[in-house]
Amino acid sequence: MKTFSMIDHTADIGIEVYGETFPSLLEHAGSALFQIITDTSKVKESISYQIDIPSGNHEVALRQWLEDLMIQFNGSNYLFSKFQVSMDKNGHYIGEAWGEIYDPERHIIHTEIKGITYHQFQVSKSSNGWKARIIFDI
Amino acid sequence: MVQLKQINDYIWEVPKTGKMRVPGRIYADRELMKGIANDPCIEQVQNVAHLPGIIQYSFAMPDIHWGYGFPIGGVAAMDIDEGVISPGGVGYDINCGVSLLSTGLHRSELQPQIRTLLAQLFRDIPSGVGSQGAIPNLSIKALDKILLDGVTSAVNMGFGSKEDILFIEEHGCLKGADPGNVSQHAKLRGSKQIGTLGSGNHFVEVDYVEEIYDDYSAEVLGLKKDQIVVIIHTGSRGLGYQVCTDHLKMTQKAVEKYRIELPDRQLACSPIQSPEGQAYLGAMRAAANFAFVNRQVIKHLAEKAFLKALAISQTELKMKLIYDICHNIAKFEEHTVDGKNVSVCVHRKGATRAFGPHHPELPESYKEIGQPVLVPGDMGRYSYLCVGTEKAMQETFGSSCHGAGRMMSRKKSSKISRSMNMIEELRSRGVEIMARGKRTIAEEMPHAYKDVSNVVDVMDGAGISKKVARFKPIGVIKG
Repeated sequence: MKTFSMIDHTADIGIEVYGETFPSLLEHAGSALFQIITDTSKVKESISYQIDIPSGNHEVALRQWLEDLMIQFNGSNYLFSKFQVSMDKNGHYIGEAWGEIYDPERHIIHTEIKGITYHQFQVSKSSNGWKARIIFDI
Repeated sequence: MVQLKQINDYIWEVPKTGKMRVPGRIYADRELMKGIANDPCIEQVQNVAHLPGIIQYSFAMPDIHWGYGFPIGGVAAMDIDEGVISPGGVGYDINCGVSLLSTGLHRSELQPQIRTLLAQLFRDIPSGVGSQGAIPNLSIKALDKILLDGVTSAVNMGFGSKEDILFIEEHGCLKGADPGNVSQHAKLRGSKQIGTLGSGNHFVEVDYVEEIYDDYSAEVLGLKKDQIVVIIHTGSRGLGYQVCTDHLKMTQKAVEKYRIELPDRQLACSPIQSPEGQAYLGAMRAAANFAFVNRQVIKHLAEKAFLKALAISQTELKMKLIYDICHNIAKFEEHTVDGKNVSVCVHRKGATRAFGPHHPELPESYKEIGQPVLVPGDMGRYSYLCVGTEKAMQETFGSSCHGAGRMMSRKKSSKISRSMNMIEELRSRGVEIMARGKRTIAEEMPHAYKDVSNVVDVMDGAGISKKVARFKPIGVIKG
């Protein structure tokens, strides 16, 4: 199954992300984010990082998850290549990302992402599953 | 499709419809309009016209293209008492801007050494990912001083000279900056990134003066044909991106609180006089000061790289700042509207201030010619230096274009670039390039951009900014 596709946007980068469930949508969005930033096949899964994702509003949850992942990259130079999101017994989403610290000898940074815009930002559910539209400022 | 009304050879009006508070005005000629007319950016010009307190028009410069919220190339002036401030009208890269430096070098002297020079620039100016900035272990206290005082603090630390301050928009410091409204996370990102270039369309470019259109202005600015100049394009790095992210979140809530109706959430705004508006203004000004300092430090690193690579003295290099401008900013300025002097908050999102001759903000030596307006083109063709005019003061709140403007998405550009040897293609145009990733080059190849000469000609023809000189790149480094 296709996990995400690129949207044509003149100045920035847009993606459409798909998932059978909301947690899988979050996982695929995390993966798409880091595939834009770097070649994730070169990122070893040597450390893991856990993120509490707010429940309730799906748009808020997706934004927060991506923003927290970006904070780890921008603040601590972490690159991630594997993502898993599950729900705990209280109905809260817990996200986990595996990766390593950026190593200029092995990793190429394709681009920096400045922000996750609100422009056309959308999370929707249909009979085919979940879909999100995200435009990043780069 | 929106029906545009042609006002004259260079102005097209977007009629006021629905809940638009003012009409839109796009500066373009018939040829450029062919590319603009079917782009979603027209809708964005309409959307900006919905913002409370907008005065006269929602403007777009000829390099307009589809952005998020505001179009890139958008200008909107707001009434200070009744109007709003929109973080999306400034963008994530607060005070992204351009510095232009002149040198005493002749093209013929530098050309044989361009690869050596580029390698040195590439080594000495970090991109900012995984690397330390130019001031290692900068404390949060020292960073707060930078956010408050702008370039003066950089000069006090040994980056550049006091004279530089005269040749920077707002003298390198927006007053009213409030580091207390900049989050700790933004400061953490910023503390490691002073003197870093970033990625995407940011660059340091070495050019020569290819053509002079206005001998008098060129002489005042100290420019001669074949002289080497340097262009630096970057902004407030992670600190600015984080300020925008943090305050956009707060502003989303303010939209509900103040019951502001908007056609696009990215246009989220708050009344200028509200606590949310004031908090954003304080943080945005702090980020803008960070950007001024970032470019100032990069200038210093570039000068050192020239001296080292070419093994010459400062007296031989004669590197001097011609001017430094912002092109993503919101500022309080005095303008004349309907014959009255008013204070307005001008949002420039991908647009450059273009104050005319004798404006009190200009350096004494530039008073006769107007403010330098730096318009970088794509990395294969050329860039322009223009000057602001009195007509810009009358028509566009003293604003002009900021660059070539993209006409192709990064995805499309990369697809076209795959079929070419990009390094050789640029070399055939006389340009050497060094970049950290091939994808950046592929996305930024000249075919992705409008021809900047068409953009500049519209502004010149419309009398908004007048051409002074054209620069031809010979070397570029990208993050």
